Amino acid sequence: MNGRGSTLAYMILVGTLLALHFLFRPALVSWPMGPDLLTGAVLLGGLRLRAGAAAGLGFGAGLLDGAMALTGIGRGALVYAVLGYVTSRWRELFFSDVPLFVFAYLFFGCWVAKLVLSLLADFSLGWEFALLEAPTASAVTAVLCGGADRLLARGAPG
Amino acid sequence: MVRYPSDEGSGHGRADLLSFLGLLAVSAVLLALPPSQQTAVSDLVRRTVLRPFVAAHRWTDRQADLRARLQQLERENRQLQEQLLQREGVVQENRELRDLLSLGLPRGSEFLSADLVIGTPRLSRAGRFLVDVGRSDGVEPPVGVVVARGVVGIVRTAEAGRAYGDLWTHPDFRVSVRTESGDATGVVRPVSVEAGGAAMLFEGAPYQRKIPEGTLLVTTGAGGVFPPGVAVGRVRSVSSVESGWARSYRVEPAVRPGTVHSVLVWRAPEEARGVRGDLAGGRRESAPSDTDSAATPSPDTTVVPRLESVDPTEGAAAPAPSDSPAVVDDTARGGT
Repeated sequence: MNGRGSTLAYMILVGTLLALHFLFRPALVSWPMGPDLLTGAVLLGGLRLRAGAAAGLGFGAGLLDGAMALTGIGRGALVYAVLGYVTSRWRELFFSDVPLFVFAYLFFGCWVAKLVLSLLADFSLGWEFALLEAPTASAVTAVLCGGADRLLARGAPG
Repeated sequence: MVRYPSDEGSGHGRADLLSFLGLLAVSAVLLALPPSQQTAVSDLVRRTVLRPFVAAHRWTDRQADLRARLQQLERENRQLQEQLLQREGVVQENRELRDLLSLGLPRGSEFLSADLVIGTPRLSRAGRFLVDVGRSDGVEPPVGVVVARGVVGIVRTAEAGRAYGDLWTHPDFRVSVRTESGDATGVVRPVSVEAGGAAMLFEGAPYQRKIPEGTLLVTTGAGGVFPPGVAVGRVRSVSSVESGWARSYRVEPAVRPGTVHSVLVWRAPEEARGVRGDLAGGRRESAPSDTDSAATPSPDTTVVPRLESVDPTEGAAAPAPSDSPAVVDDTARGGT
């Protein structure tokens, strides 16, 4: 699999994660510790796309999520655009050859994104959410999305 | 090992930054929109890009609603089936209770509604019953038990919350009766039939007055055990003629005990209780305490054969021995 094919496969993975997120959104959001496939997709896209494209991916995903949630469409678009741009722009800073890097990247990235979104939504942060629900959901997200990333990476050359 | 692409030296940094800044500006505009316009944008997105997902959610919600509705309908169906099964008994009980409420009662009479159980294991003798009212409810035996259709039996003993008694099929049962017109009186007692059932025998009817078939026999109320006017049965045929002075008749009972579940236990008015007490006291050594229904024949009372064999095919009871007339006591006759 060449670089372009690999990127295409990752984009299919990201699209699949986004589709699953919007398809099962009512069930996923009703479970506080459920996986956040939207954030996972944006984080994975940030690893493969250029910064502008990653920001566009995050913006689009946040916009759609806001529209689906009927809670306002600007906040999610802003946060996920920033998340996509930052992860894509600064991936060289925290990139590592350690295979478990992507899991840790997804875990901490998802955790931070959840905390920021919660802060922007309520201007407050509950300890239970910050230290229990958000990290647990982030861990689940990291396992699912990181596992998919690793499966895809096995088929990639070199 | 995954090698992530690098933007270093690609020359797209400025374009990416401009794109990012543009997206931030759009996000800021969206955030600044009033809620109504945000809702309009959301609706537009939901109607276009998200339409398949929204449709899937609606379909899922509808399926969940249908499942919940199905479960509710299944529960209601089970409840309705149970109610349908219970309906038969409820209708029968309701009919009995309505009949009981419309029963014409003597002035001052009072009845206690009760459930009757026939032949429970603790009651070793056939023809006995238990009712779920007792002395605490005001039951003072001996006292009659009736339904609207007629006489059921008599309470013999009572405890605090329940009482025991004999159905009219019990060999010891006696009741003072008269014809509906009042031109003939006598005593009704049970007789067995060969088929194992029970019928009634009307004894002591005047010899010179023949009672036609179908005549209704009712209680006289003598002795204060039964209220007057309660149906006992209908005359069916002549059973025997005791030459010169009395006739006996077979009687079709008004009530078959096996069909009765809800009964009324009579609480006699004070006057009737007084009569019963006076009579009982005056005849303590020679007669049962209750004259309507003689529970225990006394030594100086002529003993009636307790159960006579009747051939149902002949429609007549076997004649009683001439030396043992079917007379219980004088007060029973005197009261009629």
